[in-house]
Amino acid sequence: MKKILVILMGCVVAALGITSTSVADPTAFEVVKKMDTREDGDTLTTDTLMILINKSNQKRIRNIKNIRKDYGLDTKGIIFFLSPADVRNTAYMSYDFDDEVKEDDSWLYLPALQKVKRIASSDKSGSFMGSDFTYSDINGIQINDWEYTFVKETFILDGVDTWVVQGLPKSKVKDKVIEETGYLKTMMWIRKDNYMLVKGKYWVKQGQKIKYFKAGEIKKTDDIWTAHELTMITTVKGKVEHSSVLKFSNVRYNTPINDATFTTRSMERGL
Amino acid sequence: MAWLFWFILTPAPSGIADATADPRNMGQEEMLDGFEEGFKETDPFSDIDTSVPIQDLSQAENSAFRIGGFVKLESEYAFHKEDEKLSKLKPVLFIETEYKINENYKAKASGQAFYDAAYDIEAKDKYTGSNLDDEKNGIELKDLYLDGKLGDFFSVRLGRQIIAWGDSDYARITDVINPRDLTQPGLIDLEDARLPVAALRLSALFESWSVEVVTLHEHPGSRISGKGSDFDYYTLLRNPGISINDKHTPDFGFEDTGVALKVTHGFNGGDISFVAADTFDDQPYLRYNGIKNGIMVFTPEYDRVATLGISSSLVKGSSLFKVETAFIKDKKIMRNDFLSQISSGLAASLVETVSSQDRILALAGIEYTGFTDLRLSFEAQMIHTLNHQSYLSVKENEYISYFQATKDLFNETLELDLFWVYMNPGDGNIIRLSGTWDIFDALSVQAGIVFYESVNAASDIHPYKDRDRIFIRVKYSF
Repeated sequence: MKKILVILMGCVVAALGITSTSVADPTAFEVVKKMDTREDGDTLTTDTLMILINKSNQKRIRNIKNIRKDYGLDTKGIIFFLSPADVRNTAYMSYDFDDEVKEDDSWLYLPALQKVKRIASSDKSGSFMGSDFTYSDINGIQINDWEYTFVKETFILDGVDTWVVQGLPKSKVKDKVIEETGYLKTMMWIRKDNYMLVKGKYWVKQGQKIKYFKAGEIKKTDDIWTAHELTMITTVKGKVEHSSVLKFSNVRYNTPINDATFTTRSMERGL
Repeated sequence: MAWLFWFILTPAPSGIADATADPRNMGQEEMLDGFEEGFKETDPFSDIDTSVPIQDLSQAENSAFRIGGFVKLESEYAFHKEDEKLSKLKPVLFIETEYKINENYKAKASGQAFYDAAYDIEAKDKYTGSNLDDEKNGIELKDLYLDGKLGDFFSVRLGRQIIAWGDSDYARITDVINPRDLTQPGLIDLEDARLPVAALRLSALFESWSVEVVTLHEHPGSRISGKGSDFDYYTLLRNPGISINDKHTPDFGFEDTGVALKVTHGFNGGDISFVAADTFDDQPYLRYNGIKNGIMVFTPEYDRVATLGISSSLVKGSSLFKVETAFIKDKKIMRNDFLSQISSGLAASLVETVSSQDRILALAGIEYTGFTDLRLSFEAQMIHTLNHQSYLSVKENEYISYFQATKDLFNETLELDLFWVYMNPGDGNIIRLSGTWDIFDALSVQAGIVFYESVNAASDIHPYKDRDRIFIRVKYSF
């Protein structure tokens, strides 16, 4: 089962040469699948600045190192927090399996405890380290659990042609999907020229919130389309509650990464 | 300010839909709200100020030396009216340094200094003990080690360190390496609970298997409160006819080296570890030294115990199941008849204060994270003493349960926590409620209250039943 690796582990990438002309009148699912299977390199390393902004415009800033490696259709990723001081050396690692039967494996290393803890990762609706991104935004969702339809087959956004695709959990698995992801419905703006997700709107079950997603600073890195800035805003009844910005730098694709990076020992040892 | 102004002008802007409406029933235009072409004035992103300079993390990452730490002020107030007092006013300075020697080796050192002014402020009529120096002030070395990678899958760490084994968050079953801080039950945070020890740790990874071999070269024992402390470890024995010396810990000698082995197999959704250890017990027993000047004298000492255990965790959906069990060989358990032995005139060398017993420890637990931003954890532990005798100071079966609920609010700037320890049916409870607020990245404030409850005078916790207190901790990290 394919997953949409939207945020940290995958940034937002799309293959060179894939254009809207490569698929004649695709269905909404085909568009989403194309987005999901776009080229994102076999490995990826980035430095990430996570800016958390509350409604009083006070900012909290985290510096993060992301490392990701594909193993066929499976993915291993590890995230190290470099600052601020109170979270420094915190590490999160996940093995995401393509096989639907397999549960994803996740671990958290808390330096204060000096202990690696396996964590249950089924519920992905929780906030990722206090941000507006959830674990499902980071680890991805099962696209086969969602039903996709076009809201608009042509929508010019910032001068670029996009598909607007609505996603609803399939009725058979609706409760499970909503429980796991926290989302009642999603709307995605997907660029036709490179299949990048550039905007999103997410209806959140808890607290009747709506979240808005935007990808910015889109450019090619190592020949792969990459969004270098991602923003997620959480609103309640039309008012912004909180927002999070991820800024990526030192993005490197397809560099050799040792398998030993993705071990609990590596989490303990830190960078 | 522009962001606020925008909302004042347009309290329910068309750009951001009202989520109270069922999104499944929305029309196309309503769903597109907030993303009209060009966004114009309704762009919800337009006023997000992201003007933070991107730091070049590769430089920070590659810098060889790093120093950090925190200053913390801990204060506690015992509010039970019979013993009302300021029980802690303790500034703590913690410093941590790391030096990256090269890609494969790094060194780390950390330590802290503290001074508890409550002992001075309340000394005249509240504190009568003479062995409180360690609790009042000190400079402590925490970590001091060299860590090395030997190829891709072998590693070594030598020096004072914490090695956390086992799957339980609270109980010490296969987590046999580090002693614990037992000075204030229910008040010591998990992060401060383990005490570092001098050890050599060799690790190897073979695909889904890992092996750790540890030799222990320091045996400080778990930290316990001294005479005069509110949580005096030997409070039940204190009377004018008994004197308890400072604890006598094993030496660094080769013959006192502890050894521990852990073999772990990881699999999709879980892991299982097998632990074998021959170490010194972290808790002391009392050796009788005889009568001096009409006073019975005892010394806390430590003896070796052998541990054979299994620990496993398994993820199923939003639940993490944990089990741990261990067989403990030759645990020294205090007898309850040693005072009568002494009274009967038995020679000091013949007085048996302890009995060597085998024990079985077992624990089952579950951690549930199915509710958003809420973590629930429950663990139940049983300690069974084999070949139990009536003269032992412990019950044949002892039970202790732990429950913790932690709720994150406001994007993890506020954490509310309930921690409940329930000991043996009828023995007592420790209940702690606390909240931690991150005022900004570097500054946090934690405040809470701890209750000690016991109606069973024979229980271990009963002497502490009037030690309820409120606490506040202000921490600035740098």
